[in-house]
Amino acid sequence: MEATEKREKKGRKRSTEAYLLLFLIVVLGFLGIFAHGFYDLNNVMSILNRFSYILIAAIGMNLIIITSNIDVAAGSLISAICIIVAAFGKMGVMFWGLLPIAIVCGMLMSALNAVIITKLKIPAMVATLAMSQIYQGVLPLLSHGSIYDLPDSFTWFAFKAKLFGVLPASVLVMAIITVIAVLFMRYSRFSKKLYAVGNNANGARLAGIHVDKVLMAAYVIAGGLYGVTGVVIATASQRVTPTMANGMEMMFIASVVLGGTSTVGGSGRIQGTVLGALILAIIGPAINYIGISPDWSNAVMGVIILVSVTTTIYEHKKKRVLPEEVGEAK
Amino acid sequence: MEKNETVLKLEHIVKTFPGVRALSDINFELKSGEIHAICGENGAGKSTLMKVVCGVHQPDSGEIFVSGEKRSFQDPLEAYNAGISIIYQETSLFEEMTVLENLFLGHEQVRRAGLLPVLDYAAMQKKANEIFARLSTQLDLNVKIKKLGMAQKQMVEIAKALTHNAKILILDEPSASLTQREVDALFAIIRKLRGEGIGIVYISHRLEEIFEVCDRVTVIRDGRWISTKRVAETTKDALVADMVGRSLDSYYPKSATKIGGELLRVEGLYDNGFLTDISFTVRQGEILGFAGLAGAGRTELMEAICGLSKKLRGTVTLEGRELHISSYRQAKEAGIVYVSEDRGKYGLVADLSIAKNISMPQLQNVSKGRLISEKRENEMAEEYREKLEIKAPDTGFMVANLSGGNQQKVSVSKALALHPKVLIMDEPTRGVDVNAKAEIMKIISQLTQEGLTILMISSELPELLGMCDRIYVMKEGRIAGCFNHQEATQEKILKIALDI
Amino acid sequence: MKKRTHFEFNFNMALFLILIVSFFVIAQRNSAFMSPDYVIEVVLKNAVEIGMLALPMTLVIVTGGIDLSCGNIMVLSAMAGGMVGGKLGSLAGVIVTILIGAACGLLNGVIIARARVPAMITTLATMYLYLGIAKGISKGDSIYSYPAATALGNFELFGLPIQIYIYALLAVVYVILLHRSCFGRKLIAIGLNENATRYCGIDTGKSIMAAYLLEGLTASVAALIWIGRFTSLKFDAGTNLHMKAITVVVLGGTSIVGGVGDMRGTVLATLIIAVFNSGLTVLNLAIDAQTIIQGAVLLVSLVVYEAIHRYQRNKKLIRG
Repeated sequence: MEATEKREKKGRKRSTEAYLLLFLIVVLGFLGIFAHGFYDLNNVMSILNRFSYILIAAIGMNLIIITSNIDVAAGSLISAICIIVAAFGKMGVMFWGLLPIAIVCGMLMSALNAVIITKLKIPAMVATLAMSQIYQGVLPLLSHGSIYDLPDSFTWFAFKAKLFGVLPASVLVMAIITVIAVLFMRYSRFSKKLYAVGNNANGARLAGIHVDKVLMAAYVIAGGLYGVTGVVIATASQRVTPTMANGMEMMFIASVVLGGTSTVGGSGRIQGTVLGALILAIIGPAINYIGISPDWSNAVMGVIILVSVTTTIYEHKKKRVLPEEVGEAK
Repeated sequence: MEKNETVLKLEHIVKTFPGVRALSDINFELKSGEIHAICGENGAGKSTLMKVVCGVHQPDSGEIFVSGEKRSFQDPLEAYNAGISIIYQETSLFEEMTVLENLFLGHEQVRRAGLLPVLDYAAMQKKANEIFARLSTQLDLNVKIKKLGMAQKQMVEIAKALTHNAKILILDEPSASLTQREVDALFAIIRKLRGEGIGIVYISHRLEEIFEVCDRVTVIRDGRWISTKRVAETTKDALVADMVGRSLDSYYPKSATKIGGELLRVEGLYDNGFLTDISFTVRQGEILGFAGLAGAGRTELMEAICGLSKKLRGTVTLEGRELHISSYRQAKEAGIVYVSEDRGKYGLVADLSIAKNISMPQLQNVSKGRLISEKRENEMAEEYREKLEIKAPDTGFMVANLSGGNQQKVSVSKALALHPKVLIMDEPTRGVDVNAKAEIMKIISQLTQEGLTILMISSELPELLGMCDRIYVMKEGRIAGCFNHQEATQEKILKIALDI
Repeated sequence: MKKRTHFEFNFNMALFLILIVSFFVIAQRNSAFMSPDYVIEVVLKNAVEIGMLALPMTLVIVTGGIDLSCGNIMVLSAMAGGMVGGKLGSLAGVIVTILIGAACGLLNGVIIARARVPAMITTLATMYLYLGIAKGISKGDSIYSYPAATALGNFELFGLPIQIYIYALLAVVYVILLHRSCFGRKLIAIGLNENATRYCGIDTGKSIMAAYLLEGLTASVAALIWIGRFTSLKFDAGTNLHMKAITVVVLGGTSIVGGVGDMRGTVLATLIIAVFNSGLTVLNLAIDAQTIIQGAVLLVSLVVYEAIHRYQRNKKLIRG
């Protein structure tokens, strides 16, 4: 009896990720049959690149959502980083210089968001909503529009740095970050504090956790990750506009929610977000390949997001799964 | 740990909340290797006392000694670190986290992997398994708390206390949601812990449990220490005598009313798993009391009658016609009105004015068309402000700024303004000062003379004895007894409520 | 409570003062600002759509919710109407516009009130969804206006554009709705304490759905005016409108967490934002500066509101 109970419990825990994996396999199979040209090398590499930069930022968003907060300024923040990176790139700074600059900028900007939320006590949604406006406004003023004619040193990362000649280097960066993230969430004391705060901020406080510090850390880490994403996106273009990444927060949030993290907070794993980001990275281009006009890709994405958001709430509300059976004591 | 060493001592503890003196000069002593029960009626002060011990509240005066050392706890964490752990009825575990994570939150064990500190799951699992072995329990450490039943959650809480090397363990009504088998398992565990020298405070009103597992028992009544006895040297009757005995003088005696024929009949009411086969009748003009301990099901019963919660089976008949109530709105319209026991959460909207609260259940009656007539609203509110003597400068005053007694008067006015046939009052004088209590009781009395029929849930036995024509006693979702006014006494009621 | 109405009264006065002062400050710098033509054509006309979105948004925010999709509801209903209106005539266009707006609002309401998904996530998702649908049906192209909409967008009655009359009418209706009607009272109660409101026998789910439905409907009316005014519309035209609407609502004195609403304040704030927007253009400030100012205004309003609220609460405690 106990053994079957244990198996049942394990099965239910895996279910969201198992379903996602299943869904992914079905979709890939479907595309293999119906989408001509989908598995072309170029397309696959492009999708992997997309998957990489979405996932990197989505991991940051995952941390924030676990604490029961949100960040709708992510897109504008990344646009800002793109411009900053481009400005430095134009001056000839190499990729290895651009990366730390981007990370630091991302951390600072995100820290500002966190200060507004924790010290000024403004709800995360509206605080980041307002800040996204400010970033969107400040940016074009400072950059006087797009930045053109970027040197080859700038686009090196996207165009020249390839693994085995074909694989985008961003995949390597993403892989490293993902592995670090998964290990971090499993083996650090901090990750437990994140979940506790998201479950019950007051209870966490009573248990001695500095809630404000945890939130600040979550936003700052996310900001750093946004920085990496910004570099990946910026260095892939020869022209960087101040609105390049606006609205991308939707993708990140969708990856997280699709991956099984509840928007209420307190739960969710990086592994799920990986699958979520992969599915979303594929669906965009896939729509084109199966004959639907790419104009509908946003709508399809929107439906997926809406459905996943609604169903994860239901999952969350279904609390007691096992019967209240006694019998553990011997 | 030495046996019989005094591990916790409280001296002259006083705690007052605005308007209410919760604890007066309480003395209490707990030895190591002892299971010491604290016993008392609802509202006697048991929970408040424990909250003082745990650092949730700070006493106004008095001293706390832990193992002979004088301590003062500014917050729960300090008490925790001093070796005091409390397990509340509502567990404080993090639902979406696993058993293991909850056990070690805030004090996880780490090891070094190269330069970085890394969670040492192996060590934590080993310690957790050891603790659970001590408790003769097995639990899957990687299960999320939300999937556990009440008994298992309690087990985790106890284990958590042990990971903090608790020397003092306080259990607040631990058997409330457990089956008999689970209670037996719990007893085995606390006996074991007693054997290890841990001092255990067992707060409960279940006398049979106290006699089964506790060494000493302290009775508290109205925030005062009454007695401390060895369990072996006392009887249940003696404890009941200690628990009871509030003076009846301060309550307004009910004036005689003409009682009519049957007005409301409830038959065979079941809800989803707790209430079982409830049947009773009420006659016109009667005040029908519902006694019982907290958790006996009185509020659940009333909410099921009123459509605020679902009932599985059973009929409600008013004035001979069967009612089909699936929402509170329908109950209201039929003439059954409910005054909630929790003013802050369900009874009133604190940031609105007196007038706006009173009119809320019947906005259409104070409007012309779809627009609210503030004039009519204020008139209605004025009428009840006078009738119930609500102390406020005017009816536009925000309810949050009123005293507890006046807030309750607003809550009652809200119900009376609907001109109900049956008024259900759930703990009508909770958190209300003595004067307001008397005023509210006086009004209730007058209303019955005018024909109103009342169902009254109360934990104050003298109140029920003074006001009610008949009293039903509930226990664990059932009706366990019924008394009429003449034959009822506090002892009789309490005995049935405690199931002696 | 007396103290509360005193504060509200003062706050509206303060807003009015800000309005007058900013108007004259800008007018001083550029006298063209003062001409009635300018005021009507530029200041007021440009504020109508935002103003119309902000009115029901006040109701939504009062219940403790939010609607980030309103701008895209407006665009989607305008586009759907435009496409139909071009082929089947004006009446069909108008009907479709209204129906789409209602459907979008209703979808929001059902998910928020029945499925209990938090409002911010729901409307974040539907904002994206409606944008996507608009892009899909228009294939990225512009959609053009049709006679009925053009009329609404441009027709003048006694010298004032008809849309201003429409806004004025809606403003009056919404002020009455929030501050005088049963419906408004219920919304406020829900925002303050939904449980207690339910325990009065009120169907809170129905009221909440109605609020989001109204947002959708009003957005569709704004849609008619908008497409009429601009003659053509692209799918992304509505992307920042929700920000402007929320800024207006918060600036007007409504609490972002719900329970306290000031519709008159919303109207005044609409005028202030209108003056700011056109004033900044007149003073030759870049569009992007305006966006920054918008975000800053929102933040500042939120902070100031929170500060005042806390001060008030502390004061009450001291008085006991």
